Amino acid sequence: MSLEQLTTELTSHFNRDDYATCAKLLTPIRIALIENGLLVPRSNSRVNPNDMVITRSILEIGALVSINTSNSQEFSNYITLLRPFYTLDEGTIPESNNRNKLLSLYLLLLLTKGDLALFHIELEKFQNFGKSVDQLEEDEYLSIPIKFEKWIIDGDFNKVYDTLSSKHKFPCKEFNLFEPDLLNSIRVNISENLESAYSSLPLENLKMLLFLKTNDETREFLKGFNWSLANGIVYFNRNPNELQEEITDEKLIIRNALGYAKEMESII
Amino acid sequence: MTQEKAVQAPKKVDTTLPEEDNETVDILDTFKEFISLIEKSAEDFDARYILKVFRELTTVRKEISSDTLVSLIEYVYPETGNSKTSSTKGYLFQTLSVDPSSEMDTRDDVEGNGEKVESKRSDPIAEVDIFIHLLVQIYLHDQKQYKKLHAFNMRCIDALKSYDRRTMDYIQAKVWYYIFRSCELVRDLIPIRAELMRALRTATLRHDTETRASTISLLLRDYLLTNDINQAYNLVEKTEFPQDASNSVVARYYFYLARIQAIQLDYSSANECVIAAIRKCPQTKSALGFLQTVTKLHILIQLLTGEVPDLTTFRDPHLESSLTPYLAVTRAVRLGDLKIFNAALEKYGGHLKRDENYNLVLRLRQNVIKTGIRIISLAYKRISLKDICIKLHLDSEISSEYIVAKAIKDGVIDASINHKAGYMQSKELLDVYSTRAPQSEFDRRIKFCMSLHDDSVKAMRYPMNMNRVEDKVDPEAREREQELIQYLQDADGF
Repeated sequence: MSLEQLTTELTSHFNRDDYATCAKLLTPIRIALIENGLLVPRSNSRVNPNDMVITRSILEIGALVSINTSNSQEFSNYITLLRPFYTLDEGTIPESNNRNKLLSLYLLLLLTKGDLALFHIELEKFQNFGKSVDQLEEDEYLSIPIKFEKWIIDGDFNKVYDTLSSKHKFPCKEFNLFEPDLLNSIRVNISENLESAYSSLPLENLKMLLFLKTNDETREFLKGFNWSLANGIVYFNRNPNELQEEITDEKLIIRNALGYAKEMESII
Repeated sequence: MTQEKAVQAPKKVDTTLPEEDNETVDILDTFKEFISLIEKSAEDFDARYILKVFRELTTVRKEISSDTLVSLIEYVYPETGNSKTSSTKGYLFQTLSVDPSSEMDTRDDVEGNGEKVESKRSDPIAEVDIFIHLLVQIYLHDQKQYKKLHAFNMRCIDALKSYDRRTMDYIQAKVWYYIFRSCELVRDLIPIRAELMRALRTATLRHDTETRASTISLLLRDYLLTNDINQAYNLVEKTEFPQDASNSVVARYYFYLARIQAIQLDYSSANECVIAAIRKCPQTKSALGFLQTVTKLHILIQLLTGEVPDLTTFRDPHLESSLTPYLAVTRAVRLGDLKIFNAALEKYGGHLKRDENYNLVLRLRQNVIKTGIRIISLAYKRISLKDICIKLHLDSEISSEYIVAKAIKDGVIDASINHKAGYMQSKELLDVYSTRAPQSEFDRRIKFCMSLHDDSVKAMRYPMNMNRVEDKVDPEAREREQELIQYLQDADGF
């Protein structure tokens, strides 16, 4: 099949939300793109700008397909492939409508992974388009991950949960796919906070704080931590080994003093 | 970041000021002296002479003129040189846009004092050749002929590649600086990366400390200017920055590092780096721009970690005016008032954007809450979550519970929450002197003093033979020393 046929087929399947077939089609398409030297954009004018637009839209479909089939690794790969298209000099090809949508999905992915450093690095990159963070917040897509990140940093997990549970608010359906992962990642986040803030907590409250629905779910979740459960109260084990510290302490003093003496000697 | 220029130019003011001469010929003599110093350093493998040249260059760089350079080139590159020398000479003149006729004129002028030496000079050694390139670069830079400077880059890179001598280290580092500077000025930042990488590789293999340090920091600057933080971070991870590089480069490196870490939310390491940058920054007037930029970043990082910077920072007469926007922001954060914060942002937004700190300032908006919690926890021993919610204008009690828990985990406050009764209790302030903290702090400082002492001993120079001669000349001194030792030994006995 030629590249053209493949592309039309891909688009038709994609429009019918038939992601499994799309995923199968994408591999031969990518190979065909490489063979034609189209996968990586070149700024010299040998390549027809129209071809670049088509390649870009194929890759965008690929990214959306991989999100819909919840293949996050594949999605990151597509974003990497798309990035040179998005950073082309202005005027080479018209700007893509999907850019902000895909990038904000990518930002959400970073949030679910808890990779806040990379999240902010991505935000900085928007400065190349002359956008600062508060301008990004006005974008209907980008505002979502940015708001989430703010709440997570603040510790205002309640708001994240509320927004995630009211599904209809998002401008596109792909955002909903992140719900379970994002919830899980904030749960881990919350439990770390609880561990340091409380000495003990009733199971009922813990369940509520972690946005869990049933007691079984809560018990399942607890297994990942070194907490003990007794009479419906969870105790967060913190292990202070102060006694041992003191013993090493004395040795440390002697060692330090000897060290100073040696240095003094060498100076005099 | 624009104000940073000042420190990047090789400016080190020293006490040895050459005489103030305005005539071309005298400057020419100064340069000739420089060249002989460079030759000497190449012979002895001693970088000191080159450093001396750079120190003195600062004071005369304003007086470099096209005429001086032409005469100097005439002096350095002999008429009877090999093909390489003459081609170098050719393109140097071309870059300075001198036509052959005027070249002849200048030559006549200097013939009087130049002729004798000129006749016996052979082809210039590598160091001198590169030094001439550097002078041409400095001249073009100071004349603001950036396009020409940029066009001259390839010549310089080729010239650098054609030599393989370690004594060029210092000069080479400066040449790279100007190559990059020109790229920055004409906003042509991507292609130079490959060349810088190559230079870094060669310098690392040759153990050229200065060039290595310089290329690393230039690459970092390149990545930061194009907001390619990830690349910059990878570079930091993969390379080892030479610690014995000269202070101004180290300061710059730490500044870039602090920026990268601040963007990655690693505020505590960023804080350490930015402090290191401030301390290593040259204490002269020419580095003021750098100091301002670093101080701005320092203030922001302090605010982001929840600290309020010292008011004296803003009162420094050299920094005061440039820090005004930051003072306004600090005030807003300290009061924990979002309204004042937004007003400050509106008023100084442009300024902050120019400093490329705008995004960091925006992050502070979140810190307003953190500061609020901190103040509450200091003021109250025990407070109900509901009151916190009201005081901080939060949406619900449960929100405040999450936020307080997060603040405890982040170490913003030292407290615990009692869920059943619904209050937050601040922990009793520990007596610091009952813990190990003072001891370890003391230990750290002693170690620092020790290493400072060791470093200064290592840095001392012992000129060959000089001491021994003195010993012979002054036997009395030795005798006195002997007596002193004797006395000390006696004293020990008692």
